[in-house]
Amino acid sequence: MQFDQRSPVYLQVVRWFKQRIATEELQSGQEIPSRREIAAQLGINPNTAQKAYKEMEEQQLITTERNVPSKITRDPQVVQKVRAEMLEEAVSEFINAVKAIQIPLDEVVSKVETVYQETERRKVDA
Amino acid sequence: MKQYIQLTNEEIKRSFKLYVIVVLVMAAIELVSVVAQVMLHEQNIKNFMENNRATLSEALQQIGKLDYADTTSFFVFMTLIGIVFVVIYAFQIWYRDWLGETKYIYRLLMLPGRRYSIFFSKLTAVFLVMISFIGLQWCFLKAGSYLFDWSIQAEYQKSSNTNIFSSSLEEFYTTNLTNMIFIILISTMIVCLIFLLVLLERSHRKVKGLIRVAIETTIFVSYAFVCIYFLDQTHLLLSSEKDALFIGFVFVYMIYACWRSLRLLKWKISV
Amino acid sequence: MLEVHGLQKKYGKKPVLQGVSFSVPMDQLTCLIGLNGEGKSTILKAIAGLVPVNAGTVLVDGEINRNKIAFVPDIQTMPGYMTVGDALTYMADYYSDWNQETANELMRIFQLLSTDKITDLSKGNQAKVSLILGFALDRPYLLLDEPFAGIDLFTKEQIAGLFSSHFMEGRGILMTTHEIQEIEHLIDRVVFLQDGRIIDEHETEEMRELYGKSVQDRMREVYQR
Repeated sequence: MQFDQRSPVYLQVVRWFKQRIATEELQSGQEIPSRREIAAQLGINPNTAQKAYKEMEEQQLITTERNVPSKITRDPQVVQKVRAEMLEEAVSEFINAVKAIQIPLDEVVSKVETVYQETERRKVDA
Repeated sequence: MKQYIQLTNEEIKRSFKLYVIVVLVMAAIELVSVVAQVMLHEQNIKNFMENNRATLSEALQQIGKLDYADTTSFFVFMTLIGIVFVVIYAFQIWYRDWLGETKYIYRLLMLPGRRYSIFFSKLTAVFLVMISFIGLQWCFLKAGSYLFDWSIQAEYQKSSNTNIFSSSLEEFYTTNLTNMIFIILISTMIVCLIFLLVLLERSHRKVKGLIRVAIETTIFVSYAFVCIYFLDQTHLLLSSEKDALFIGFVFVYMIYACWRSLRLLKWKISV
Repeated sequence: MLEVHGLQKKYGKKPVLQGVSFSVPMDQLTCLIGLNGEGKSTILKAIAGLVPVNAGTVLVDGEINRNKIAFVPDIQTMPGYMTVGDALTYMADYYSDWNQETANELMRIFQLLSTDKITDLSKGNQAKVSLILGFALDRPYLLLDEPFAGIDLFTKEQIAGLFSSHFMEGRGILMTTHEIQEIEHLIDRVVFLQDGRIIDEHETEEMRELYGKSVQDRMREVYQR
């Protein structure tokens, strides 16, 4: 995994998990790799993995019990919250990008619809 | 202690191949030279007889008979070569750990045991090589005399003489125990001096190192002169007391050299 | 905690280290950063006891104890005739804190053969051997001098993999390197050396979180006058 070196690595790891929670690649209650395993998998320092897991615990994204692998939260509200967060982030980024080239809102919305449907069609064809 | 033994073992293993080669070559040269000189002598006699139409006894009268001592000139040469080898080894045993593809000195200085084990293992290795050279040379001289007896014709041989040594060799290969001990002690002292000089050079940068070496050599030479002069001049002591004092002087220097070397190795040495 | 206090070193009249002080915490990867020839290597060698200093002390958990520190220099230290297996046997013979299991595991990970003669190996493989000699000692602090210098990309990745593994646990590592860009994300702390002194120390994640700066950004700030 490539990392942006100007923002905290542990938050980038949390984000990685959030993306997979939002897409349900990681399901409610699913076991996640241990800190050691994720460190080796993502190529990060075990301390960073530790920090990331702690942060995810604080954000209630995962639950940890002693001697048992950590699991993704079963709380559906948390999953919803993550999806909303990811969407908000993507939308903000997008809006900033289109605002920079000063496109009016209705053009933006119709363009979004068109492109979205096209990518769905391409997915079906493939 | 354990590390000292391990390191000594290692030093010996490292140099063993080269050591064996050197010993075999020296032995070969010496023994072959004995036989060659016997044959040369025979040839000289024969030539004389032919050229001057002389009888055997006349030729032997003129040229002279041969005894073993006459054939041992190469041994003297080889003994000197042996000394040179030991001196070179005393330098090389240190410098090879600094120079070359790998810097083993790093490994040595990082070992968990005390650093004096490094010093004494190298000293032991050089000492053993030195002692073994002396011992082996004795063996070769003896073997040479058998070879001599076997290869020479009776008439050509000088009446048997218990002394198998030429005068120059006798100085060195004395059957006198005291002298032998003296020689070994002095040689060991020289090795201690060499070790000290090497460590001085390695503990200081560039020119400073060489200056220290020059100073230390001067100290040694002065010390040696003073001791020898004193022993020579004083009329107050018996010969045996002089010997004891001489041994004392040698020990004092060795202790000094070792003590300084150990201190350098502990506090000042740098990779 | 490995603490370095006030290291000073002069080569003749020229001062190289003028009071270097910093710490290397346990369970973290600390990187010592400085321009070429500024004395990074000298600092590591001084901590390892290979180079004498004019002043200063090194404390491990409050006491002077070189046997808690393992040093991996940037050059080969085993005699040329040795094979990899010989080198491992050597370490086992001389060190009571040598861990043969760790060594075997690393041999497998690095795909090295005990029968290979060390000087016949490629530079990358030689570097891996040196790393094994350091990592397989059960010592809490490890010093690495330019572990990535002059080696190929694939080997670099293999070595960087060590810093993502369980081999980091129970260890405080101090490293010097010029190849910062590829491994920045693995470093916990950076210590900046300039003109023989430590002028800056940071936790890297803090630097990123509070200032949005990467280590390289900070390096540019510090070293470009």
